Amino acid sequence: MTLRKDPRIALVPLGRPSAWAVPVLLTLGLGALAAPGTDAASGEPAADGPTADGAALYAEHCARCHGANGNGEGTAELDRPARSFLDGGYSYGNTLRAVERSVRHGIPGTPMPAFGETLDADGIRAVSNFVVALGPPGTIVEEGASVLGPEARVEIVHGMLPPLSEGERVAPRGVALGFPNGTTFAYDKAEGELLAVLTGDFVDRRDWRDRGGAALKLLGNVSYRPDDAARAAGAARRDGVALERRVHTVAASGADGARLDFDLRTADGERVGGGSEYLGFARVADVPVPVRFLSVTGSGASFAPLGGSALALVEAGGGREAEVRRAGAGLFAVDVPDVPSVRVLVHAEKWSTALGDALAGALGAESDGSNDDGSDDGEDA
Amino acid sequence: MKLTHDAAFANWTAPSALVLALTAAAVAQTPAPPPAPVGLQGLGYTTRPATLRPARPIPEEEAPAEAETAAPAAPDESTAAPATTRAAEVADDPTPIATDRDAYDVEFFPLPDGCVLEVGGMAMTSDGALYVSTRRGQVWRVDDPLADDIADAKVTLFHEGLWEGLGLDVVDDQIFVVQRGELSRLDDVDGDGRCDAVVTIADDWGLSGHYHEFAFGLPRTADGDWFVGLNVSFGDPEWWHGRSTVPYRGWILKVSPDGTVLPWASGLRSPNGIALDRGGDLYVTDNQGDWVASSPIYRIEKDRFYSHPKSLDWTPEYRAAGRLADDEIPPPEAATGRTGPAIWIPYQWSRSTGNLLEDTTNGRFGVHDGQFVVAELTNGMILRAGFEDVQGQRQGWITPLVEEIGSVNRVFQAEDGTVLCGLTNRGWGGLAPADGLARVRFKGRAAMEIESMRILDVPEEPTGDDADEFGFELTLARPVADGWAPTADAVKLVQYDYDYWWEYGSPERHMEELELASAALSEDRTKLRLRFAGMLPAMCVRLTLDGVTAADGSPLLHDTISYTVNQLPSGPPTNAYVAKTVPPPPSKQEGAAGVLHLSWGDALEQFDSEGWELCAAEVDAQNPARFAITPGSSALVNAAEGAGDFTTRGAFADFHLRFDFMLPEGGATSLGLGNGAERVRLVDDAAACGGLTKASAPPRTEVYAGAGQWTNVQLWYRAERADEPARIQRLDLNGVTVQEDVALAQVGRWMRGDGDAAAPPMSAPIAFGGTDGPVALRDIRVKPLGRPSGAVDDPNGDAGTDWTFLDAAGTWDDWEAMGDADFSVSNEGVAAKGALGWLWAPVDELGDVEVRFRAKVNANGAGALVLRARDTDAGVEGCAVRIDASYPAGGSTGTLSAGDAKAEVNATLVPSDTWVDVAVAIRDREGGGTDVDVSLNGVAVNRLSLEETLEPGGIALRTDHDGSVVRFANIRYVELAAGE
Repeated sequence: MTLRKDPRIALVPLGRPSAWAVPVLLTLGLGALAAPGTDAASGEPAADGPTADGAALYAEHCARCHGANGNGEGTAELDRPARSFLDGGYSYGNTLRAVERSVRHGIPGTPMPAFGETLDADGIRAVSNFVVALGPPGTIVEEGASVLGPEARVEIVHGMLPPLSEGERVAPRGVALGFPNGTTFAYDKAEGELLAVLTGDFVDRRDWRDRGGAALKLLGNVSYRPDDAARAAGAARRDGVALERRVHTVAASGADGARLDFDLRTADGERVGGGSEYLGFARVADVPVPVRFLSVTGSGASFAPLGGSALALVEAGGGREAEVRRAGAGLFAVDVPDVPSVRVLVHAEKWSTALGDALAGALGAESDGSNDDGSDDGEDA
Repeated sequence: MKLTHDAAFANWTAPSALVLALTAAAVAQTPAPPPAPVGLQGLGYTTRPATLRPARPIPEEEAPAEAETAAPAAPDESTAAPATTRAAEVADDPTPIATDRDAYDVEFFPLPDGCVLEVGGMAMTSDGALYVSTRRGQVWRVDDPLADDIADAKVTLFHEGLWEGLGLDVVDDQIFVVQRGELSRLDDVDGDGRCDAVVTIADDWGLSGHYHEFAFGLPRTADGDWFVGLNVSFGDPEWWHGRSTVPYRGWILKVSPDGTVLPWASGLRSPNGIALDRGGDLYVTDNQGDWVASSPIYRIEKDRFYSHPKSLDWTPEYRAAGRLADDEIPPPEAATGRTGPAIWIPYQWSRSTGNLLEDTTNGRFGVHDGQFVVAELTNGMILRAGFEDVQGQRQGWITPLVEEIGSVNRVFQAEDGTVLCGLTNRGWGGLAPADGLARVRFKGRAAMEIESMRILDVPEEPTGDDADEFGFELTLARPVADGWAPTADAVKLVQYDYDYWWEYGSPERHMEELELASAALSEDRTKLRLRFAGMLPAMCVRLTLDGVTAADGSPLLHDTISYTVNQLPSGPPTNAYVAKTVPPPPSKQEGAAGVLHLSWGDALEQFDSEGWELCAAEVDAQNPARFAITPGSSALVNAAEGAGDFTTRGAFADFHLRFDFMLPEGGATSLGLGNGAERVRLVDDAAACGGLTKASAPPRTEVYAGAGQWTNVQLWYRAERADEPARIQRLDLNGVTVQEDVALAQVGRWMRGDGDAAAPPMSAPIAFGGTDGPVALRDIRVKPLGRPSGAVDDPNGDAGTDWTFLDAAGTWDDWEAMGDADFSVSNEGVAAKGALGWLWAPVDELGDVEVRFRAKVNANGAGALVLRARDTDAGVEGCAVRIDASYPAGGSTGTLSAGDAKAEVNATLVPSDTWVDVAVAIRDREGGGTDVDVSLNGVAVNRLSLEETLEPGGIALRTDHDGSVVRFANIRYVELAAGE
């Protein structure tokens, strides 16, 4: 695929029969940036093992926060203390792959930065091995051969998803999208419904054992599960009646983009439209915040307006402002007035100026930097 | 602040994505259907010819030029090997061909590190690359698979993340794979050699989540439609008994590129291999099992029924009538509406058949054009087969071709004749290697083989006694050496048929060696015409030639060939089948497997039985309205004042119940079903006995014979589902049906009303009324039906559970015996023969875990499976689940013991020499202590609560004393999450 040179593109307004010859409504800046880690992760370490000097790399990049001996007491002043490596135990799980991920992509929500652009795969492997060696023996568990982990690209994994909490059923037609930054989106593909967002290792293909057929084991920690409000906010409607989604394409793009295309059907199975759900991230202080960009087509298909006044505005380009409202626990909806066929869902506990800026950045314009209440916390969860 | 944003949306060549999204929104105001798919072009999808659904047409001007991709180039005649003229080649080289490796090269592709190629499908793109889908859901690309040096072939990953890929097709250089849940197109949108978009072509079939629901494929017709085969899942009464709980399990489906799924033919069990010949005829291989006597090759025609009855549940007729095919009784369709296989592959050659292909390379593979190559896992070979039509029915022959390759699951032929063999046997069993990719190439010199076989009609001009004699003409690949003659000593033919039943496979029945009536060898010594006395239609034959060699001494590599005689060439066509409907095996006449004898042994133990007693009862001559009760054990009577219902402790969903009852004058009981809102009336009134209390359904026939007579009751009951009410499938009194197919609208809707179609059927105890009047009961047996084996607390059975199977046969060297018992392993599982001994399974220390297995014990034998087993100074400790039909020392099958603690089952729920499905769950309580629950045949029967917490440990099989023979099969476990 050739990336278009012009990273910005004019978006057309609604309500005109000609889809193209119309003024700009939204401008979404879409710089074709390589995702962090893309290059670094492109190659496996040499078969002979890393040639890079893990100790030297550690001293150079890690010791300032984690301490020269790995006790977590470095010289840097941090909001949160750095992890001590002396006791073992790592954010994304006790596998070498998990440690490498932390090094490569950083740990969202903490001062731990991403070294994916600083270190090559060999260096990441070396420093990870060095870190592991600081801990007690036996901390690292050997991964089963059936564990998959996205490295340079989004992995689309079909399979049966296990119940995510007690009393739920399996989803035999499930699909999990694993991102190299440690985020997993789990969908019931049959119903086109997001089941959960997880953080951590990706998936253990338990069906690679025995005769096959077993459910996948999602390895991450569930960080988000939709509630009724979230489901309502994400459902397209026609004449006030929710339409069913039927996913027909799941696509990945590089390390940070993915998309689900779906048909919209009535309860009778009549196809009345279609749509797409784009998955991506806005970065706030290097923390990837999951963003889902939903759009639907079809006569009368739209997202139900959310009540109440906007709790923040986001500059959406072209002089337009998108309105931010809460759409359930851990979820915000960003709508452009009069464009009811598009909705952006942002997975965050709180709205903040920084998030608004990041989203505006992702949407191609800078936020005006202010919230309605002017506070950086916006609305509390 | 200006932040560097993520490339999330950008990567979609991206802007277009959002443009399109909003464009699409703009278009939304035009009438549906909208031209949504412009989005696909915008995202670069035009780099591949799109075979999209009509609902999302590509505007013509947008259609990519590549869509006109040329068909694969015709083979270059100048470089392709010419069709072999075998005789000429052989003449050049006088060395005898002593083994199949003298005629064929078998080479394995070197694979990248970490690549475990469990092949499920293969096809080639126009650039000569081979795409291989696997059971791990990966698709690998093999560049230059036909390179002179196999090391020059390059294997790279194209995609991973599918849920199995047991069939792959290439259409216009696009890759299509059938996953468990859908037929998908795999697009490489950005052209980097990796798939990045999975497009659903069709998914309109059911998936309950059972592990055995494989989907196989993927041949394509000239019209561009695919065929897909769906397995049945497994369930009770035997773990290997097929089920079809969701649509089209056990069917062949025709799938159109527009996503339409057309149920094509039914009656399949595990249709692993599907192929079309050049004429468009469809062939399917199946795997032996219940209702499938040996491995068949069917010729599949639309709307026909082949063998396995469970698929019939999804025919329009069955659906309309709410019928379900019986587990054990052959359906009516089996007698007249069945289509038998074109070829039955003898068990000795195949127990697990892969796919097949028609050789169309004009001899480049050393196989006669139009013959078939068949993949085989168990014996790890490829076979050769040919078909002919006889009296309108297809039939044919089969014989081995190249042996000892490995577990060949898929064959694919390149235009130069090379046959690529894809291997896998994980969980299925078969010859090593268990996975990988091999190529088999003909070296150019023909081996001495039986090249083909056709059936002969009776002679047009009889020369003597042979007027009634049918026979076969065999063509040999090369002339037979001088000196050999087709004498009765050199030609043997056995004829046999099979049973069509619910048992797993069938022995060869009615085996008979037929007398060679006449024999002739052609002048060129390549054709044999053989006639036999007593050949019958609807039989198979196996023909063996002894002592045949070619002139150069090359032996006949495969001296045996099998032919399936569905029809003889003349005479009235038979309507019989090779696999004949027979009564179930005598030892299972009562359907003993799967049955729980609730009132054997301690007759009261498995019931809530307030006021009931075990005694002998007869109608009191002085007062015929009551019983005269004496000590004994022949009747269960609600003798005490205030007796309540006699209610099972376990709960049942679908079941077959049998019992006897007897009433005094005016006596009455009733059988409560489901929530008890509906009851079967069993009253001293022939007009009402067998009627229902709520539904207006009097007995169809008056059967009840009167007070003082024991009446036998048999009830087939189907529990309420979310989408349909409970149902009496059949109710018999003394063998006469008095109710059939009665929906019980009153039963249920009390546990849930949410219409959750996937919710398990409602389970409830069975209650015999104790308050309606005096009644005597005896011999209560229940066979849970349609339930997963051995569910303790998981009514969905194995679905969705990560069972780890302890494949004893595959890991036998890791099992460790201790003590004075002999342990052996076979296809039937592990056999343990006493005296006291243990066999340690190769498992780690297990804590909270559920273990399921099948077990069988001989009369007077006893054994156990020990959980959390630890070998200590004090002996083997842990919690034992006893498998004991009849030994007197404390506790029958299902008894639990750990140290001094014990919870006995004293009802003899399972007789000796009968398989039982056992499930046992062991879990620690918060705050200390350990609970153990056991179920038999899916019904909870016992619990042991230990005050002390049992330490984690392994799994050991135990045999208790001399003379014990205990068998364990299908042992598997799953670790239980906390609180589960």
